[in-house]
Amino acid sequence: MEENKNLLTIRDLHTIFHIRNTNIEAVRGIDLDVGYGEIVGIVGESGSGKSVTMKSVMGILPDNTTINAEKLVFDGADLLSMSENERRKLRGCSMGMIFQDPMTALNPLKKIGFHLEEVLMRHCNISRAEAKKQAIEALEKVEIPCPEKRLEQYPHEFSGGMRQRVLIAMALACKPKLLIADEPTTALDVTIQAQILELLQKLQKEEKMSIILITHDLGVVASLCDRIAVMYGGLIMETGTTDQIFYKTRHPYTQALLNAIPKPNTQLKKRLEPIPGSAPSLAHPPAGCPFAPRCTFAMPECRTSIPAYQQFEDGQKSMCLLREIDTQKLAGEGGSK
Amino acid sequence: MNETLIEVKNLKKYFATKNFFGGNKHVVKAVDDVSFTIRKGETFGLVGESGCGKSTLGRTIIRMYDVTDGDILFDGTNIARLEKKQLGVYHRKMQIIFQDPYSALNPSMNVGEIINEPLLLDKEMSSKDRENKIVSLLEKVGMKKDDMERFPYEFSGGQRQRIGIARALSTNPEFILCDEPISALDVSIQAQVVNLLEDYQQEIGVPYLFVAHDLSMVRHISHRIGVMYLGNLVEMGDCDDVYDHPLHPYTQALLSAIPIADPQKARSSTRQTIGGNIPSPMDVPSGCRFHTRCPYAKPICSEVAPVSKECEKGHFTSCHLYDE
Repeated sequence: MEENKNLLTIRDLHTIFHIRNTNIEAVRGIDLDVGYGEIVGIVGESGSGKSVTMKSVMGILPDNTTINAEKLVFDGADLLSMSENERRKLRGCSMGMIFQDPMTALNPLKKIGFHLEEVLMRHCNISRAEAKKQAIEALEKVEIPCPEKRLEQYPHEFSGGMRQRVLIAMALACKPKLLIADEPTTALDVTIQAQILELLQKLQKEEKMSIILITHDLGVVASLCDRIAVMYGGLIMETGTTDQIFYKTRHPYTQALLNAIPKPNTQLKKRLEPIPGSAPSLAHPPAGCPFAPRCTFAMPECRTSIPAYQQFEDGQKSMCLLREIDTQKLAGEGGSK
Repeated sequence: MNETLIEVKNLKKYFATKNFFGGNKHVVKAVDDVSFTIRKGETFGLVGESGCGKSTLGRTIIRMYDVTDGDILFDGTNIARLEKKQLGVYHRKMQIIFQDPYSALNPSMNVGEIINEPLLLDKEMSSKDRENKIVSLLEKVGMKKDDMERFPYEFSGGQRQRIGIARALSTNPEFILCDEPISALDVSIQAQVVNLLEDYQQEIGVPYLFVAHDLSMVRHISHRIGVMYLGNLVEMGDCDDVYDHPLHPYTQALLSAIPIADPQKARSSTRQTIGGNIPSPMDVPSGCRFHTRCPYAKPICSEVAPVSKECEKGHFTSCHLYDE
């Protein structure tokens, strides 16, 4: 029943990298659901495991990785029992992915047309002529002017924003059910970022697809996402709707993250409240909650075992022993640091 | 606070790109006719898209680059045309904090050596004095004495940026250029570094030129800001004036593009996106450089370059919309 409701279901996903003789567990057991037509944001700092989670779902991690999961179901199909061939068919066809750096994601020696036609011919079994026609349509959809001319150009003739549009066109060429956008606007200027975000929003409505947006920018998720998962140290700290995460924050990490950014549009210049210390190393993660060493509210039991999720009536989930955050305490201690 | 420390007058910095045979092919007007002042004890924020010349402007002011034309008055002395030898003393007075803490520190030197290097310029300092100074600098930026023996690779990005700050502070500078000092850092670490910079300013009163593209962080830290577009300063004024009542259409578009970290506000605000891309600085548009993307462009905009006018007290813009 759950499968019918959700496009993607992840249960207890672990991703382990084997590097020399050490095992580094980048994702340490996460649960995530993505519904049909939903935009889900995954927020976290670098090294929190957000990209690795999505690459595990796509199946594009290097050979020295082990993926363990209780359940990994995409559109009713079990990803864990699939052969590499079947997964390859799924990628690019039902799942598209766009990357952070539009400068390196395109082959500099090949024309833009080649990139798009290759995707279409491989996945849709069509002739080159037909592929070219569809490639023009794909570029029109992402609002690139004069698509016929642009197909004959090379990546270096495109600006950063235009390249990101090409990548979006490539990812959407086969009408995927899920688009994974990994920091799609981080390398772009704000005015171009606004254009790309608007485009993604428009395309999501037209194609009725689901989007998973990976970012570290709370501003980007606030305007675009329906639901948000906050990741830290390879674990999901808190999930909820966008409003719940911003206005009914239940996890100290999320709260600390919100306090560390300047408040939008305020005359009052409040001192920022940084999170003391730095993120834990994935090679030697703390025994308990990964945020405990930096948490204002940490209790002795936080340091010994990873807390269980608390499920709230309104659907919000928080991996913390606390049910509520005393914001007064957070402000007081954060300010004095 | 109102005393001027640095006055920049009609500053120009052009880069010539060479063609295959060594002849000049194109001239990139990275900074073109920029005038503004930096007052003692203030933070002047400089914002704009990549390629607008904000970093070049900062680096030209501290004379990392030679000046093509114009004047830079540092405490009354024109340093725009000083030779390398005469500049030494000013390089000590003006320091820089770089964007990328990974490449700004020499990987083969330990932290003590990195911070010691600028101190060697002062010939009268004994090695004992220097060591004491290094320890006090490390403590000031929140690090320990033992860190002196460690190497840059042992530190995280935020800690490396602290080392970079300690190095910049070592010569007791009168002015610090912060060239995107937080762009490479995680959100939780950015706040640590910004607070550190603010604390130091309050203690010593050193002015910063804060170059960044994170507009909300610039608003937080700056007293006054300047907005650059293709080598021109299109708007300048008190931080809150510029953010609350932007005059230039480019500033308006830039500010409305900031993603707001508040879902309700984000949903209710109407975004005014500007189309198109920033034109190449090798081939700048005639007249007002923004006219190719400006929603209010008039015929005059493509012909005559607007001059900077004071529209409100201390709030300057160069746009034909505000011509009398």
